[in-house]
Amino acid sequence: MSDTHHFEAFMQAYQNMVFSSAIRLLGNESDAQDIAQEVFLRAYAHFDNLSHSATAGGWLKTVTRNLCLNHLSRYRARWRFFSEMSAPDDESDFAESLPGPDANEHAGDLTDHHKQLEAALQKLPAAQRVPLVLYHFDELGYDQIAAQLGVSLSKVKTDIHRGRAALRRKLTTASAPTPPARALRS
Amino acid sequence: MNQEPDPQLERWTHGNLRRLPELSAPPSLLPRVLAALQAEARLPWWRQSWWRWPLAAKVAALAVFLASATALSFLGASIQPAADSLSTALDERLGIISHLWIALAALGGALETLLLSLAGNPWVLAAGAGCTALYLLSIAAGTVLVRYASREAGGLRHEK
Repeated sequence: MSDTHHFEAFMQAYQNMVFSSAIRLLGNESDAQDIAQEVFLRAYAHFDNLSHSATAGGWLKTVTRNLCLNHLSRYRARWRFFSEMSAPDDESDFAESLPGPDANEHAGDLTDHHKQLEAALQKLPAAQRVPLVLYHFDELGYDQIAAQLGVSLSKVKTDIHRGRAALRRKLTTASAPTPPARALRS
Repeated sequence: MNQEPDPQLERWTHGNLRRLPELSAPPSLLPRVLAALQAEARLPWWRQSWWRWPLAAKVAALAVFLASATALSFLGASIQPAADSLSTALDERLGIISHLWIALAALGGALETLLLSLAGNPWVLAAGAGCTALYLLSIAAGTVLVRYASREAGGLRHEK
């Protein structure tokens, strides 16, 4: 098997994982594609080591996360002023503004419940989505997330809590499988 | 320190999110990456990443870098006395800045006196408040327009 074919097989094995991580952190398909491309270009530069490494998946996930956070921090300063001025209003009508089950074109092979959850996650404001993804998918602790994002621990906790509450609101208003009754109570 | 504010909501979210399957990468990703790799491979070696240079070129570049750094440090040590005398000469020449500073401080004092005398005038205060209100209004209008434009752009992307 030639080097290129070997790399193609490597990419096919990991491209869904890299793309999913990127789009969940960035909430934007085009940016996620750019980041995924950059991740695999870097992987190619280290392919001699990665091709036989059992930790290739972890390496790819870490590089994806770092590139996404760099990308977000590059644009965060530019948009922070505008986004923070109307953040509270955005949150009040967030659940209603979410797209229907067909809105996510990458969710074609998912169940309705998964489609809605995926779409709701990607529509969360970045300030809530990013720490939520880092906590639940990358399994970082609150303090690690605060350090990574350069924000206070209390802000991380508040943002994650608001993000979870927004997701639950969306899913419980739809005809998705209902969560346990006690969990529904706010 | 990491105490969970709402453990039930945390478990519910974690369970749901962790059950989400991976999303399919767009079919265009693989050809995009391969095309980028081919384009990079077509570049001459000296325009590629240093890590991909031939070993001899890497060693030579490293040697040139170390030689330059050593030469610069020796050069720095040898020109230290000349730099000291230049610094003294500059200090003398820049003495004019201290005169300029004194003149600016006097001008600032005069402005402060003028503003204090105007502060009691209701027309001046009203004009100041009006200007501030207009400034804030222009920021608010700009914010609304930018958010509207970015939402429109987001909507167009979803429609695509």
